[in-house]
Amino acid sequence: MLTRRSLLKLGAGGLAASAVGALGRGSAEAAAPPSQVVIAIWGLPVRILGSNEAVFSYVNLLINDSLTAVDGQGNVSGRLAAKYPASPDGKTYLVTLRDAKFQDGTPITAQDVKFSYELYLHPKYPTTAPAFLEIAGAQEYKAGNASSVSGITVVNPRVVRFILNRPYPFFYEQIGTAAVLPAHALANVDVARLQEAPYARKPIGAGPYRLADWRETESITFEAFHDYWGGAPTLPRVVFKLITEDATVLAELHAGNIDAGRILPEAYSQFQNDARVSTLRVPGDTFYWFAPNFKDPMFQDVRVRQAMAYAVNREEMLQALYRGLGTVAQSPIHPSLWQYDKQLKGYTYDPTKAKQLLAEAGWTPGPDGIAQKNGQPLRAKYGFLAGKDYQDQALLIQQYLRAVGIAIDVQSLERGDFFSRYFVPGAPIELVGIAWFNLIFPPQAELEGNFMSTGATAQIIGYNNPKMDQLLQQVVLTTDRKVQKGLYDQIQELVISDAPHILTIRPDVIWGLNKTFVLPSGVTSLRDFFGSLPRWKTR
Amino acid sequence: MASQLAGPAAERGRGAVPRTRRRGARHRFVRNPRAIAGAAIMAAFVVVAIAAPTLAPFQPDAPHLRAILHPPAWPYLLGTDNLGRDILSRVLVASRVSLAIGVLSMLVSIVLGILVGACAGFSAGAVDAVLMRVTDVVLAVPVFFLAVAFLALFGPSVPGLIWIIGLTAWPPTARLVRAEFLSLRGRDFVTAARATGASGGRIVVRHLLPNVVAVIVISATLRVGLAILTEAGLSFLGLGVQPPQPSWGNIIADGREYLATAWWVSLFPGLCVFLAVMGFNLVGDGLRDAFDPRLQV
Amino acid sequence: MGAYLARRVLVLVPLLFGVTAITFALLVLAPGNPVDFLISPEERGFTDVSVLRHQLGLDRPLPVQYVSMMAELTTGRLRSFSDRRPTIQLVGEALPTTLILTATSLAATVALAIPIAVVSAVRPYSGIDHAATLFSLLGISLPTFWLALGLIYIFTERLGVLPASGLRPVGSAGYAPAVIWPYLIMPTVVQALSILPVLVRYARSSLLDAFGQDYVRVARSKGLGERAVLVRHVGRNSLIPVLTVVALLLPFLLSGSVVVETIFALPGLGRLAVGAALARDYPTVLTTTTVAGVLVVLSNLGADLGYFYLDPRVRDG
Repeated sequence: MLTRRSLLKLGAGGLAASAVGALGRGSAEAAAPPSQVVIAIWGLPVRILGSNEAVFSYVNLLINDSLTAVDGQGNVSGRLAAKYPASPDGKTYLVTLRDAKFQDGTPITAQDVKFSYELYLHPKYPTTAPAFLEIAGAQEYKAGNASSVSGITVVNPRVVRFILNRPYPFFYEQIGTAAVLPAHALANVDVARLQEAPYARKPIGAGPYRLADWRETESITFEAFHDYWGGAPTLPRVVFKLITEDATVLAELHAGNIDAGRILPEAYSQFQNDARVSTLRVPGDTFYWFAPNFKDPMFQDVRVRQAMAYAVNREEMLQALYRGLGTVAQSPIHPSLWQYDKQLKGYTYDPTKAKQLLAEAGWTPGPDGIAQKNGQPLRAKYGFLAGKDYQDQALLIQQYLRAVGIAIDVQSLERGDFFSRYFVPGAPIELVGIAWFNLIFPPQAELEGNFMSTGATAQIIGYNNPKMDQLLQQVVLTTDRKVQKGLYDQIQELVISDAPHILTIRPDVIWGLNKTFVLPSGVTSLRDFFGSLPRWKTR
Repeated sequence: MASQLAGPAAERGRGAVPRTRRRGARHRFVRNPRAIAGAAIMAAFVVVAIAAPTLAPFQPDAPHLRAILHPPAWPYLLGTDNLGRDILSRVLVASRVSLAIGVLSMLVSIVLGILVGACAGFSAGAVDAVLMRVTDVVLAVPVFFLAVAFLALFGPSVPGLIWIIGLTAWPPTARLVRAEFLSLRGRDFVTAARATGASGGRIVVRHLLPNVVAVIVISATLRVGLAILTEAGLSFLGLGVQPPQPSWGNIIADGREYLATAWWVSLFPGLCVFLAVMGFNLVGDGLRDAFDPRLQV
Repeated sequence: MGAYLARRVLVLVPLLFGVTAITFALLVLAPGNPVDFLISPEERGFTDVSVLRHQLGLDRPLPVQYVSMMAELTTGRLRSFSDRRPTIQLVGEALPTTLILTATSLAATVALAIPIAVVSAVRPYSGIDHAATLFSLLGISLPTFWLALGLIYIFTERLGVLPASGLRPVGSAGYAPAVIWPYLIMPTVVQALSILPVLVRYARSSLLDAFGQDYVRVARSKGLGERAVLVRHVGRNSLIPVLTVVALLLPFLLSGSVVVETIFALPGLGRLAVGAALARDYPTVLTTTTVAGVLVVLSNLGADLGYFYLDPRVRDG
């Protein structure tokens, strides 16, 4: 007889059965090799065209391709460009395209190349990379005084000639690395309303993966482009899944619901002996620093800045906050690049020396331990971008500085406040703590932005050092890599000795990775990690 | 509209609480074990909040870098966070801010609610209609947006938070007070008072207000609980009390990355929020049962 | 009846303007230029900010911006600042998730609240009543995000039986119940627990009230068993009004969805609103506020109508 009780039991049993089926990993699935890899990502781009967001750069590596590319060590290679010799005077580059197609099957021609650069230089295009202005006629075109860029010529459907204003040494690294876009898909687009064009949501790039599905707050799915010139990617599908909670990423990795995700240093040891998940450590793109406002007389004396640098115990910070997984940062250049000065001896932890320097600068300890000069205490407000990393570091830095007599009040600033009220030229900042991301290879543009007196960041903190300006300008005047390296070494030394920024740490990025997937060797940065996706293999 | 929330009891004019009932209410409250438990919890938190700096074994901000993410053990009785700061000390000191925000924002919302509700209930007509529409508007604007904007206007400060939470929480109180006024307006003693020539103000103060007190007190205790939860939620999203000042909400937020490796960082402040809110809710519940269990507060 | 309805609907218009005007005013008063979010700090130096400002219409006087945005909103042509897609589309993509979560939470709440309320009302002040009250008080005292994190830890991290993020398995689309139900379990539990006590309280006192009514006394005197009394006479009269209160709980669920959607990575309205507000994406904020406002007002209207129809005394009196 069907009583209510027995019905309930049946129902529960049925539910349980379907639950096991739906939730557990089906045995049928486990047999076949995976056709996709699901990677948990911390942010998704909001735009594809004209985006310089950090998270977009990883998407760009997959869907687009460029004439030349720079690898993790900063070395140049040809991508869509098969031959790309420079003229003896360094002002002309003759680029011969290889036989390659866009993802919709149309061949890539010199016309597409010219079109792409003219789009990037269009007066209504939102940003302009300064390097592009090195092309002859670019300035006029950007100002709206010319109908095309005179320095870019289509010699024949496979050959493009670039003429520069001067022998700019970074053509391959900073001009040749722009994505080549299909002219036929973008020809009639209103550049002022670029984001409203169909292309902005359904791009057709030249890269190994095609953007198949884009759900902004959820995920991006990429599908392999089989006719990619470099060979079809091994994995048919790649998915970036947006998960902002670290705890959730960890849980999903354990449960097997995602294949790769960034994990915290604390969780690193958990996976050392895991049957299913392995770990991968790469030096991160993020390096942390804090800088004083040069308009404030307190910090204009280089000895005060150097004292701050000696006061910070970087090793301890690395150990305490990142379990030692990372490196002490003494240079703003990513350690895998050739420009990086391996011999650089930066600051050591030396609070005695710090106090000594302060004394030399006229700051003597007051009754409460805070250094003071002419009755004024060495006290400043330290504002940092809201975020756990910045917050934890700020607290430690506060302790270290206090120990040598510098008192700082730390204040967390929400992103909107930070970038519009605080981190702009003329803003009343005293000390600011933030991090930069090495996304622009080579580092020339970043160094200029941070340390050249005309650079955006330098202007915000009011840094102006003619020697630094001179060095940075000299780099661009030579194509001899040896000479450039010598200059970069000097620049890095100057960043140390003049201490416009006090660099602290560069944490590693740790990935938890499903052991089914095998990465090619030589992945030494996040860029390599994402760039290597087309060559991932499965066991 | 307000009548729905006030419920069938008020509909039938059951909102008035005569004086004899109040004496009985006190009696009933004391006999209710849940209410007493709640009152004890409330009292305990108040004491802890006041004595926090003396009770805390360590400086709440002091990092102990040799004891990072230390599990609960002597001398770190509730463990440490990722900077080695003692959780017990932080939680104790955080109680001040969290409770202060809870109580003060409740005061803001209650005062506003009484003003609006009394005006609406007493005046009726156009004034009532306008005030009720304003109430609807405030109810329809999500707390979150107001929080972001206010945070930017007033800066990341505790007073700012108190205002945000208070200014979004007054509509329910206003509705309750209005319902009470509406139901009481037609009662005999009001007509009688009017007949004897008592002025409007007098009627409100001597006759109406005391009867509304029960509803307000109950509402107030429940509001505190809600306010504490709201503050915790805002801090979790990064919009509440800004670090390094500890609040229960931002300690939980700090610990959310370490759930698997150091569960104690988020567990204990969460427990505090839970217990504190539970305490206030038990008392509010007990008060309601004591006065009139059918009150829809 | 028709006049009553018409009046209530007409009230929607000024209400929505009030809501959006307040939101807009607060947004522009808050420092934080939308343009700053569209340009990464590294590009600041070589971006012409005025071009971007002009493209977004930010160089117009504020009242003009407001009116123009509201006009575009009503015609569905308003575009988000960040990705320039129509905000209606963004909201349209996010709304189903939030509605589904809200619906399941309400259903779960009702399914739990009615039995608890019945048990409590039948034996008031008994041990069961106390336990039931304590249980529902528990729900209203727990911070939702704390509970959510705890559930993830237990069911995903330790036991591995429930997914902790998203609404569906990677690569699938749509809202087929058979596919999405595992993803809804934990979020629904968290949401339901937060509003459960309110409903239990309302149902319980409504039932207690009804038990004192004349018609119940009459039924009892007729010798009908307790259960029969409950089901036949009390049930409909006091529990259906409870359903109208359910509609009034929508605003709480909408606020709660902000945190729940963040933790469980659900692509709903709450998460959209959070991101937009933090990025000062005025059009999206205006749209989500308006939509939330409409939902709240509609649910209030629904509750009013329900009460109106189901309670003859209100209808006739």
